[in-house]
Amino acid sequence: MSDKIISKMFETLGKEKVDYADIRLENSHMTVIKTVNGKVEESITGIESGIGLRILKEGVWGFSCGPVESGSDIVKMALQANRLNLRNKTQDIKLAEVKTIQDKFEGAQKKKLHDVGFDKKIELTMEADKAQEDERIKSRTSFYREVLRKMVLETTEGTIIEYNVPYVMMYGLSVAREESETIEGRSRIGHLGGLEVFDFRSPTEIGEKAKERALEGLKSPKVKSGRYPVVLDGTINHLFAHEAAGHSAEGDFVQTAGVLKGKLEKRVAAPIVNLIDDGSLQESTGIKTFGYLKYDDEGVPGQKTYIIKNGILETYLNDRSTAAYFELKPTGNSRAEAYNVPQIVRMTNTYISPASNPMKPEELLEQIKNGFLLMQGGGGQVDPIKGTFNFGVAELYEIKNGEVGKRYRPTTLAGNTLETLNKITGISPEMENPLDSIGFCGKDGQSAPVGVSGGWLAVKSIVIG
Amino acid sequence: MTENDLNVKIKKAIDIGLKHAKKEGASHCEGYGVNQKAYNLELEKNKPKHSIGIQHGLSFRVIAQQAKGFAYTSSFGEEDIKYTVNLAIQNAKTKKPDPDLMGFPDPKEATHKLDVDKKLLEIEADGAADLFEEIHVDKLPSDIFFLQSMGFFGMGETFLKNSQGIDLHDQDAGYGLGLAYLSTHGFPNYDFHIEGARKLGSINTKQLGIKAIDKVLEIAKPRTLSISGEYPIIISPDGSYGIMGGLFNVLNRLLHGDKASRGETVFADKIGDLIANENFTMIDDPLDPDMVTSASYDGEGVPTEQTKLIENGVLQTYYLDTYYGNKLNMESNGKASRGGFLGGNPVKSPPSIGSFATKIEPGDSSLDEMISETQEGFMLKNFMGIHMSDLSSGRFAVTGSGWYIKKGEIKYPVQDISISGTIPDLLLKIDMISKERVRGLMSEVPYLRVSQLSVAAKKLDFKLRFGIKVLKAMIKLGLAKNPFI
Repeated sequence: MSDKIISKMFETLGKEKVDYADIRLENSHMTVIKTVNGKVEESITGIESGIGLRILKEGVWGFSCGPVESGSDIVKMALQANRLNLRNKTQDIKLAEVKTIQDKFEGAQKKKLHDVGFDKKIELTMEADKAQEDERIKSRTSFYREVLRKMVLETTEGTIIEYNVPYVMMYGLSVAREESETIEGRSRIGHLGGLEVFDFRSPTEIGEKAKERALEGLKSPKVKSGRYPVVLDGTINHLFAHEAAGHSAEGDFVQTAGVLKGKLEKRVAAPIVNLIDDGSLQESTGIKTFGYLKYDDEGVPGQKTYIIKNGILETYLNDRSTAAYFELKPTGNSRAEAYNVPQIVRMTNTYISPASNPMKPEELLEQIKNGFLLMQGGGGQVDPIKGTFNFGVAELYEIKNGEVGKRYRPTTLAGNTLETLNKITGISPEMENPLDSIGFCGKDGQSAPVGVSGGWLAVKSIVIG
Repeated sequence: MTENDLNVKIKKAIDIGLKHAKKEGASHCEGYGVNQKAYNLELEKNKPKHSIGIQHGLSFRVIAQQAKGFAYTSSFGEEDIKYTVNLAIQNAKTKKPDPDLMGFPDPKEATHKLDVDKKLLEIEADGAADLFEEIHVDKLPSDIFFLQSMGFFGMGETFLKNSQGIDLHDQDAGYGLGLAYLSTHGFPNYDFHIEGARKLGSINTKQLGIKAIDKVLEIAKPRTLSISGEYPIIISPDGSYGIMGGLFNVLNRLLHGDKASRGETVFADKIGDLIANENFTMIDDPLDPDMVTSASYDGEGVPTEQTKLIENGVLQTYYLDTYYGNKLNMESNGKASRGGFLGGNPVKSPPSIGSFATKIEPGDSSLDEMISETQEGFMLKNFMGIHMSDLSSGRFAVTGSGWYIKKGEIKYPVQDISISGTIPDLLLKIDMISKERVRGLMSEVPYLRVSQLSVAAKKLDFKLRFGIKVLKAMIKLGLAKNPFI
């Protein structure tokens, strides 16, 4: 049925003389389960189907979306959107050349999402809930989400890719309370694959970790707000690489403004810094990554991209249009959350690795001497124009004479991207477990699964609290 | 398929679903359908990114074996509808029975119906684009550059029918327009101004760009400071409920009835307690005639109402839907929300507690008085990191921008100012509330001064500051291109 719909739409578009078009016909399945204090608070299953059409005509895009049954209306709306864009056109959009692909992007599942019943998934979520039980825990939340992204991408150039990509994630959120003091503890995992993710870390372990973080946080003192030298673990390496540095390097952002604009081939970080986005990284430490892409949503293969190499800005992250604009190569970073939104430039698996002088974590602690060790980053926000960022940190430890000491309450860290990139004084090369670094990154109202953890970083100074 | 055909399909599909749910043993069923058209207009610097889409779909919420189930679909075939209802029933049956579940709401006529602007409902893409183009300003002050503009026009229909007899067919329309400008005076800084309305003509399109430019001029040439300690902070309306980071959204979450019933918020069991300054009154107003989020009925068909959540500093009630109203021995105040204009496709999640439009009553100080009575402190807005706040205790640590105040005067704009504390403490430390209120996309609130908050900030590295000065000099001499534009 999908073949017929797409052929008919392309036939109409042929008469309209469009230069390029891509159609994404989607029929994805989602399940969400949320338990609170031993009770299923929310359980959702759904089928998301529809068509997204993007056309390039007279040098501008036209994007539209709608129900599968409305192919001809969708074509009309895309042409209408194209005409609106023509009204504001100042320059031609061009697309970098790519090879056409006819292939499948099939995410392997050892324990298939569809083979496991809804009741079993509730059971798994309940396991994470039960593990959080403690008289000091006032509220327990466990959250399970699976997405089976089923989509066909067809372009007028001849690319046809079938996507069948499963994602699973789970998190636990414990709220501990003692008198008027409350504190949250979080833990999460996820990967691109099936339910075998729980063979690596069970729901019980997720729940226990969230509980432990809340209880430890409750008895720990608050850190005094201020500037400190720090060591950041692999999860915060990823968070910084993604939020602060990565977003600033997204080609569509840079076309508008941003701290990395006009800095290609210039030094933007300490010489020991490599900033990498790697959509081709299928596994890390034996675990499937959340940001793996065989192909992006323009049909460009996922790939390893050195955004910064030896401290020098090598490239931006590109889709086909930003690649043509900057005269760079497409980097396989064009993604859309679903059929109803256009593709934009997104990251995949992003981290910082040492360009030279790799150090061990204990050497980083020794180098910082006195400061803080920040572990388990969560959430994050960046202003890529001003170059400022703000992250959450679940575990905070004092570093005294190069040794890890007293634990402090969860807090936040804030800084400036360029300044922090230049204040990195040491990097360890060992990638940490990617399970902790999964997330759904938000941009322009769209979310995309991203990863991955990296090694530890030493930074001369950063604002905590 | 025309829009009307789609409406007929949705109505028919809801009827099929309700009938099928009954046959399959569901004690209650609710069907919800959406057919909305949206023009999303965007100009990113010189790159037009307009798009047009139909947002469609159906969801079913059922009660079976005394438990709730929910499923959605965007396919309208009879088999798909029945499959979706079966999923919702299966979903309910896998849960334990919930003794607090009393059923879905009964029909009740809304006493206050909101008008729908027919002209907006029928606006064509070109008409929307005409309005969008009007907001742009041709001549810009020096060192001010256009960054981005956006417009959204949403219009369409929603259908809600349940087994208790609620049968609503709602037509609605709203639009919003906004722009961002960048200042390259000193370190680059930018600001955004957006307005929303339910009636065409409510937004003064010619003034919108000028307002955005004024906002960015006010924060041009920001400085960074090395400072830490306790300081008075004036939180601007953009800082409390602005779309670029409103700190008081944390307060709204702390007042959700579901959190209160589970003891998950510091305000649980605090109804009747003084929780804020005695002049602080906060209202949720879904009936504002021209706010994009306004609605006569909530997401489960209960008539909406203006609700005083905090009156003269005393907590009066929580945001409540039918289920949690019953659980807390209270009544729903119509706060079940399904998202919508700004929240993605509303069929994808069951109704859950949310706010419509927050209003804070004006105080008795002028903004000038608030500034002149501040010896040393900050006026802040556009906070980053709000989503990392602790939504149980209300603890926050956020980074904002704004102005440094010394000896009762605004000295200069600042950025990267981190403030931390807890919402309960902040509410009690509010010592001045302005007479002036500013209307935002989903709020209408005054300036609020907090007597003391913990502040930490770090001056930007010398090398970076020096680098920018050198770059500016090179741009003036024509030796370098301005990389920020």
